Amino acid sequence: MKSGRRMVKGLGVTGGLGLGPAFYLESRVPDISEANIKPTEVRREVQRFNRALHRAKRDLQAIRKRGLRRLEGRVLEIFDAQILMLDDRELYHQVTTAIRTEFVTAEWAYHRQIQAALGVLRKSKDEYLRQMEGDISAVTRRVIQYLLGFKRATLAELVKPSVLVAEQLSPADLVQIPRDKVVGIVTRAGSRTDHTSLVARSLGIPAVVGASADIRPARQGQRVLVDAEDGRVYYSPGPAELSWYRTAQRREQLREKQSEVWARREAVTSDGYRIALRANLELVSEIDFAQRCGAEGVGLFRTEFLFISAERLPDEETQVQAYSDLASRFAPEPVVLRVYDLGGDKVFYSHKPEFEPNPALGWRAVRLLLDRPALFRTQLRAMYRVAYKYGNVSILFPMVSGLAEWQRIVDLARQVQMELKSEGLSNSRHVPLGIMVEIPALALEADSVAPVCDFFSVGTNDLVQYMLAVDRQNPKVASRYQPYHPAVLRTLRLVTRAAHTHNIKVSICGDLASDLLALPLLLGLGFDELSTVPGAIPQIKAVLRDFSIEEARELGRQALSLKTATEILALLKATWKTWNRRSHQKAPS
Amino acid sequence: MTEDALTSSASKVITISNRLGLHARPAALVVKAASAFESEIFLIKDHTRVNAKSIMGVMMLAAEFGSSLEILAEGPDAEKAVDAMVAVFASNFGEE
Repeated sequence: MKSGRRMVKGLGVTGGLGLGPAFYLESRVPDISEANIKPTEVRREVQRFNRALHRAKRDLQAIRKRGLRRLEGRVLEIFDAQILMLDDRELYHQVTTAIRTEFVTAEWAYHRQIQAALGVLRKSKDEYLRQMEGDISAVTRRVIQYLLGFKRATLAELVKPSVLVAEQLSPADLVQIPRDKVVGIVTRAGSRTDHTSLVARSLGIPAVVGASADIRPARQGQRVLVDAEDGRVYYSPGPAELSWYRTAQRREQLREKQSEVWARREAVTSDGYRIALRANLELVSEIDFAQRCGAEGVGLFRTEFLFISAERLPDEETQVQAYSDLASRFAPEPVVLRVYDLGGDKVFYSHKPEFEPNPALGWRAVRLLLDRPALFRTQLRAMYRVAYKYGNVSILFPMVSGLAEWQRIVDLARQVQMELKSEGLSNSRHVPLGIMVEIPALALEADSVAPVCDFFSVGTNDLVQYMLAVDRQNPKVASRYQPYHPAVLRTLRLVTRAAHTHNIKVSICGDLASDLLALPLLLGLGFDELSTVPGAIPQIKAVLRDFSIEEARELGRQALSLKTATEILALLKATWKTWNRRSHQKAPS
Repeated sequence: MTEDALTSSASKVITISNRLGLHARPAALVVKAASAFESEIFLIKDHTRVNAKSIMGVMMLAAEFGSSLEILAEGPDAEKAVDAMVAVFASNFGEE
């Protein structure tokens, strides 16, 4: 019997180890059914079709190019045939005519046309020629996948704890991941900051992404060991790896027990200064885990994830249901709902934005929502209704750039309140509205928006990216991403000072909030609340008691006086060293 | 260009002589050859007529080994087009 033993390297994103049978998620062509568009959407639909054809063609050309060295001419000519299918003018004319005159979706028009062609082909008596169906299907799958956004086999087939192996996980797959059935994740695509990593981290699942070689298991159920510390994946691991896994697992269990103890503690410094520690969530399935970690409510709920697998935008009632679930399970602890941060790389399948060369600076978040008031209004209505009912809900707005834009948002929110009032769906509860501080321009005028909003939440990932003009996803510049840049610290201080001058709370919800090294600094700079991935909460509670708030403030003052990130990091490390030594001396035996 | 040239047409009947028939790879060669001409070029098998510049059409013919096809061209370069198409089929597409 072939053992299939091998090792594949990638990027470890979560830490920890996972062992289990492989569950390989294969791509397939989804079922397409007839669907109509509005006459006004014809142009957009044709453009969508053009784009799908263009992308599919680009893929095939790239594959053909890669194959030039390895494959013989005749095989390459199959790719030529596939590319010609994408260029077929007759087929194009038939599909676009159906879109224009019957008002059907591009995927239906295309699917129907292809099925008709395949029907003719299947009647052929020649077995070899009938195999052309495979060539046509391969091309069709590519186009349809682009039209729908990549769609895969269902995760519902995952019934026992397994290592999920996939070339690429779409946001739709990610939202379906059952926490108790996935002990590890391995993907071919991906970086430390993409959605797979984000979700793996937030669910605490060991994951290796961006694997450098073929990740397909020898068979479904092949035993796979995921080492997310070192970014290694062992297929059919040997006795040495297994014994090492068991030792690590015992250590991990001890740590987990310790975490459970920490999770139940209060979030206070050594002198009893209390801060709020909340969870960043994007899935309702994470609620249990967040509560076990000791989260006091939700500091950031990313609503776009909740519906990203939906075929179309959720209506008001669907949203009310989802938000109620969240609000009721955390009540009376607060829950901060962030309105859709759509655009950029996060989009609904049925709502793909136009291609943008620079999506980080593009049409996204409140920019998109203000231009699509119906979409915005529906979401606000749902959020207000839940807020009125449970009383623990605040609303957070991402990518606000300044006072004028904020006033437009507040006006819209006020209209929604009036509407609900006239429908008898409101009460006298004040629903706090907050600004996500992530555009540097807004940070600099924090003192002019602070008097007219209820709270700030600083998104350091984007703020740092915009301040330093560094794209963290670009490996060539990622190392220049530096949250400890003196300019960043000064900006953070500016924001906390503006908040406190105007008597509003300020929280931080970026990755920096879960960086233990930064913890005393953030407190010292004046943050009242931290919102982090749930898994980071127990340890934050543990180390919070190693220093007093006065020490943290002094550290903040010192850090602000330094002129380079290197000096700031050295200061933080030295300070922690002193505190650690001190707390070990004090530690009871 | 004279009206005659615009409306000129030419045709020829050929037999598929490669063993595997007109599958995806040869279909691509046919389409590429046909696309070089201004004339409209059709392939006719039994009662089905397809555009020789559309690979989907050519593939749908499912023209197997030994079947007869009529090549029909209409346009200013109809003669040249038919000659070129005949040559492509006669080459057996580099297959047996």
